[in-house]
Amino acid sequence: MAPKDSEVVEISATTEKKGDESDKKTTGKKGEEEAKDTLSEEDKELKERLETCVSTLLNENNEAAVTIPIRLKALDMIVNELRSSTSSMTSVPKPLKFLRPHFSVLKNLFNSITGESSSVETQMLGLRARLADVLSVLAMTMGKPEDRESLHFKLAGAKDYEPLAQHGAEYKSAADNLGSWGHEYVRSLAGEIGEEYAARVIAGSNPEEDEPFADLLRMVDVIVPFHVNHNAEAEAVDLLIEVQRLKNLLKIDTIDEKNYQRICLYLVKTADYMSDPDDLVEMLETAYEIYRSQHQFYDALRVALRMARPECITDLLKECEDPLERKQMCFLLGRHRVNYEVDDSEIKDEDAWKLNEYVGNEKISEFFLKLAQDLDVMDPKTPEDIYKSHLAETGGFSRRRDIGGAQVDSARANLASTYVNAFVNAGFCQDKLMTPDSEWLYKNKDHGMLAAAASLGSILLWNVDDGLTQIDKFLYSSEDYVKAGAALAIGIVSSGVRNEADPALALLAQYLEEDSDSSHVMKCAACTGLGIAYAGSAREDVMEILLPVVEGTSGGPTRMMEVCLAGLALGMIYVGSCDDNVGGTIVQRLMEATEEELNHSHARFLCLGLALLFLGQMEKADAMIEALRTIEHSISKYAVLMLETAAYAGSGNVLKVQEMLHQCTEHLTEDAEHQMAAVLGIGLITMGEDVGSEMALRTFDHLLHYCELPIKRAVPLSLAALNISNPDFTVIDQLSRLSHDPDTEIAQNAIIALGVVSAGTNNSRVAGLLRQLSEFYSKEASHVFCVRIAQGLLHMGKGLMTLNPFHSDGMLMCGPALGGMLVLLHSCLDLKSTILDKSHYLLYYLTCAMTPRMLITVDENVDIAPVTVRVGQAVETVGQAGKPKRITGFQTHTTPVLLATKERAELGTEEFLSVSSVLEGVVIVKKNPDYETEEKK
Amino acid sequence: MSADSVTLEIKWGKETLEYSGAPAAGVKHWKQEIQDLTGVPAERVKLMAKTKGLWKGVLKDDFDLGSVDWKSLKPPIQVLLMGSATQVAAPTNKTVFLEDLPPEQAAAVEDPSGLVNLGNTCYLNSVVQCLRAVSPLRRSLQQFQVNSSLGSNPGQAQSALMVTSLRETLQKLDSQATAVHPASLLQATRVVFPQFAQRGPHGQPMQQDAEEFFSGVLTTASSVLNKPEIIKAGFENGVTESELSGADNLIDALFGLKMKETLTCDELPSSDAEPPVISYDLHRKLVCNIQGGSDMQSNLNVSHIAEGIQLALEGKIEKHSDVLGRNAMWTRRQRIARLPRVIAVQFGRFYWKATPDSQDHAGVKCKIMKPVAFSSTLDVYEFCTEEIQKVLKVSRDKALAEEEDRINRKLKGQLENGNVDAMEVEDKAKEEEEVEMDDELKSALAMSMEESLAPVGPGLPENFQGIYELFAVVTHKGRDADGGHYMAWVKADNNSSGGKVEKIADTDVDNEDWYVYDDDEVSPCKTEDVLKLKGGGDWHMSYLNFYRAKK
Repeated sequence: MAPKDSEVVEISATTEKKGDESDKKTTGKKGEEEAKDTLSEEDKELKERLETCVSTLLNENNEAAVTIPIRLKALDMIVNELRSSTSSMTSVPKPLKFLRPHFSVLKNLFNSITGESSSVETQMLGLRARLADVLSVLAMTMGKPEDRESLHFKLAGAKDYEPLAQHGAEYKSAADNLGSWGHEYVRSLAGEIGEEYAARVIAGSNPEEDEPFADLLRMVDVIVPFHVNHNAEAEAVDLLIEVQRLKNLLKIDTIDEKNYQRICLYLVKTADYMSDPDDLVEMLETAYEIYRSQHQFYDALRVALRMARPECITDLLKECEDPLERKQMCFLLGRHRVNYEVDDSEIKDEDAWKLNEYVGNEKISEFFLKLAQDLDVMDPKTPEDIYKSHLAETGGFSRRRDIGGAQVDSARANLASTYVNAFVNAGFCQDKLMTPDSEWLYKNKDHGMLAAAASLGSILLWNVDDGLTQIDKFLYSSEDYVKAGAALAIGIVSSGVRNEADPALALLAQYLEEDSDSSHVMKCAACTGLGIAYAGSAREDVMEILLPVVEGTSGGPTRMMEVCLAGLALGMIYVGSCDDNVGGTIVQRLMEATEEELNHSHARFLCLGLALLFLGQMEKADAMIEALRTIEHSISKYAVLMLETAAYAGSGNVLKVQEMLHQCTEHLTEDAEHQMAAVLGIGLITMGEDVGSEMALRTFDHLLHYCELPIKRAVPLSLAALNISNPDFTVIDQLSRLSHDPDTEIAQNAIIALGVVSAGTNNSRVAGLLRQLSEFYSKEASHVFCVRIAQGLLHMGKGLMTLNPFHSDGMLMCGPALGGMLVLLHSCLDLKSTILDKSHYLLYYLTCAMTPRMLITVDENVDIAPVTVRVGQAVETVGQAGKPKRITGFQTHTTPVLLATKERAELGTEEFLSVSSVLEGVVIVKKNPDYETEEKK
Repeated sequence: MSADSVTLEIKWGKETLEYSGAPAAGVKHWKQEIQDLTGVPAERVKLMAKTKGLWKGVLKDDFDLGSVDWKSLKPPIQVLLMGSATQVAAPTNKTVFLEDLPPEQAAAVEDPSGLVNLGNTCYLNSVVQCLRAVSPLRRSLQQFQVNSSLGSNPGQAQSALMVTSLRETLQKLDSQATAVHPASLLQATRVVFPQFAQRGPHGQPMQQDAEEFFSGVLTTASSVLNKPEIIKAGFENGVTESELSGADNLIDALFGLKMKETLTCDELPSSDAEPPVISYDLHRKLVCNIQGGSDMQSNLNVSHIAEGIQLALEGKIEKHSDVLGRNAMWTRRQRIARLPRVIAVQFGRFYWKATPDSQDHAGVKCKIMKPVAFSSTLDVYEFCTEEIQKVLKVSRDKALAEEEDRINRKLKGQLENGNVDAMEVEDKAKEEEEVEMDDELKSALAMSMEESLAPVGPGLPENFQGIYELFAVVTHKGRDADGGHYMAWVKADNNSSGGKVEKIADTDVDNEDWYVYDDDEVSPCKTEDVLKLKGGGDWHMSYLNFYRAKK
């Protein structure tokens, strides 16, 4: 190392001397110079000793007295000096510094001992091997970085050790050879191994085979356990990733309960940055296996779900011995909306049916109502409570008249109120418009009636048994729209909830049968109802009903509408499953569709259905993308991009983002649907991943500056996708600006985006903004409608719910939830003919995304058990040593509590232990057997 | 119970019922029995299997229950019942939606439409919106027809054109839901009054004075709306010649204030005073003098509209005195001798300030920003001549007495609040009696004092107490006399809302709703907002107040 470093050393030595007096500075400098010239006694001695060793080693005069063992001894002395000082690199170790002038000489010596390992005399070989080690250490600081000298010497040494070992000489093993040189050396060596590996692969070695890398891998096998043993799990994983041998991690026997968490966390979080899907899967698989081997089945299940491998579920449940953990796993399955049937023959548990209840979310209504009671928000809210028009303030004089005079009802305003009422009172089983009597129903018109009747489903959300009885009467209404609404309500009420009787399927199927005489609206509602009720369930019996509808051809635009809605429903039901049957049918329908049919405003939903099928499945969608390209219609491009972005949703894949940006370079003012899909796609791909989202935010600024209107229109939606239920200050700011844009669609999209971003948070800032927007646009009915919807979303579930598809500490993406959100976002690309027209009931797809944003603790018997918890902002702890704080700025509460998107909870008491590693949703807690109360102590 | 009957556990909403039936009996029989059990009509009974191995979907009537292998099923056999007995009935009167209404009706329901600003025409827009609320004027305008006789006089024709365009603009405002372009009215106005066509240095239309426009409209209208039938049309209850007392056109009948001016010489002792000079004059507005006396000497601080009007009605002038044979100081005192239906009050906010010290100009136009409060009613009693006061006093005293009576009765009612309702009915009957009696008394009185109870003005209600209510305000915003912005604040007309808000005779609860017309932007507001327009800051401040006789 350059003398500069020695200066640093000196300075650090002198800084202590620097006292209070500032004029000492000069003397300090002087001292420095002196130090250069005059070493301390100790150092001088060390230097001399080393120099003697070197000269002995070199034996330039070829003195006979200096035999090889003596030279070896001299070398050993150097080794000892180096080892005793290289453990840390915070200051340059003295021996390293003193050996610096001799580096080239030693190198020459090494090179002079030539010959194959076998031909050289054993002692000489020993010398060479030992020398190689020393040179390797010296090269760490003195060699040229790009030459990887350190590694080369090490490898040369390793080559010599083999014959030595055969000779049975008492040389120390290679293992000892690495760790004993200190962390810094190992770390630097690991880096060079990675580089060397990559270089060899580029040079043509097949990474699949071990042969070409045998020497490197041998070293890796030593380094990795060393890292794992020394709290450097991240480095161990990194090295294995670089040499593409991650599976080797499983062979290491030093992974135990102390470090598996850090390793797995690092694996799972790093997986996000893998551009190659194979690498990603490998990392997750490794994490999965480690969790399993550590009997952490809950965490293993999380990883299995992350990999979308439902086949692992049975294994895990079978392997899991602890009934509590099994219950907890079932709650997770329920939250992730996995349609998994616990087989009582396979799992030896008396409560198998109970487990099914948990997976089927049958208790969610009960828990949600408990939460609501605890927070004292049971009283139903009217839309006016949300609008708060009396608070409106524009210049001080524009105060609204008292509502309830003889004003004529506006169908559009009432429709908006219907939705606001449905969203705000969702899941509370009571409201002030729909449940008391049917008066409100008739204050709506046509499709508004449908929406009003269906809103009953939203109000009674998750409460299937009760809900059906209340909805039933509307099935016998004389109005077709009301009947259709009731059918939709049946679907909505069982959204994500499983019931053995399967009422949604039993009741809705009849309307879609080939020979049924049900009306067009009825069919549309039934399709949508099934889509909402069975989202993510991949139920074959539902598919059998919907497939014929998709295949239907005759009947013009109304028929196409049914086809599209059925396709969308199928996409929701089979979300992320890549089902061939569904995929094949939809793509065939698209290919055979007439020009006219593809021009239908709802054709996009058929494409969306296809896209949802491959949600998050990455390269599995490739074949389908090719098939879509063959369609000769402008919708083809749109469908392709939609499918591509859906497939990479939440992956953070940078390459795909670049592809999407490339799509936006063209300046199109017409036929730019595909560009809108691309912009939406950027948000979709980067969502759930912090760095990517942040980058995307910046990209959107550019898009807003330089692109044409169609692209700009999609930007607010994309912003919304990035921040679902997460009212980030800057994003709100940006959206608020866009909501005043002179372009109608940008403004409307931004308004809805405000709703999505703040969904279920009751955020007062957004509430104020929306109130002001409702005044600002009071003359524009469509804008006001959007504002109302946004207000409904903002106060969704009275602030107890979230639309965020990510859960389990942001690790898992719930397919149906994202699907529901995508339906809204893609509808917004053409608001005029969807939500602002007659298809507003598509908004109910959002119920698939609705989940209580709660933490509720239960005891062993799944009865509510209040526990104190700390809730605070989540802190990223990946790769940090020890036990870092996971939350900051926390407050202590007693469960049940609400959790915001970026918040995390911790148990606030030692008295209980949680079964789940993530405190979200329903968590089982058990008494800590080791807990001692204060008095006992 | 036969041996082969099976027991089902039926879940129905929150309830769980036990039902046993024989599979052989058939589905219909089961449903019938379930109807007896639950009250759900058989055709609405929808049974769905919870236990696996029963039937698929909803139990259909033709399903063969015998095909189910009942024995293999583990009890309890669970079934979900969906059904209800309640009917959904559509309400008898169908809801009418705004979206379905024809545009004219929709316009009536929605906020009234505004007027588009055609380039600094807020002075026109604001005054037109105020005139829109003067219903007698509107009625007369309906009757107005341009006849050939007017054509002969070019001035008359122009005036007629302006009045017709005013009428059309007002009609459009009522029938159209969107903002109206007052182009024709503006055009006609500029023909009649070329000063409104003035343009600024950059070719833009100049800012104009709203009051000037208002007077202009009245002058023009007075010259053409002079037919007796047109005048009659304005007054819904008709009008007699005596009431009109000389007003020969609609404008004078509606807005005209006959003023009696009395001049008394100050410099003579009252004993040998020169007889006061009395003259009559016609005004179409009252002025509220903010500055403090027309002589500019007074330091009186005007803070209420009544003080300002009082001030404007009195003053001192220099006039030749015959007795003294020289010019002397006279006190001028104006009093209202005939009251109109509508009183316009102008706040003297703009004035010409002479600047003797300046070499550049002789003076500057200024605006007085100071607050002058007003309330929602205006009592003109103080400003009237003694004759008028005498007439007004009769009804005022009566009203006062009634009010006292009412309070007394109310107190009494409260004491015996056991049967308040009965009391009230009784009271009402009594009241009516009294009213009848009053009528009789009044006619008798009228007979006896025909002369003394002369009409106080055309078209004024009986028992008029001299109290006017505020119904429209033109405000000015800005510190400059030559710029700024005019807006109109007009009381919402309750008739459009189907007469739902009825004025309760007993209390003084009044319609509190107003509209503020900022050119084409119309927004609702409340009386309290209007009362804040008194000035004193940078907010809008009243410039013209319109009052109408209170019934």
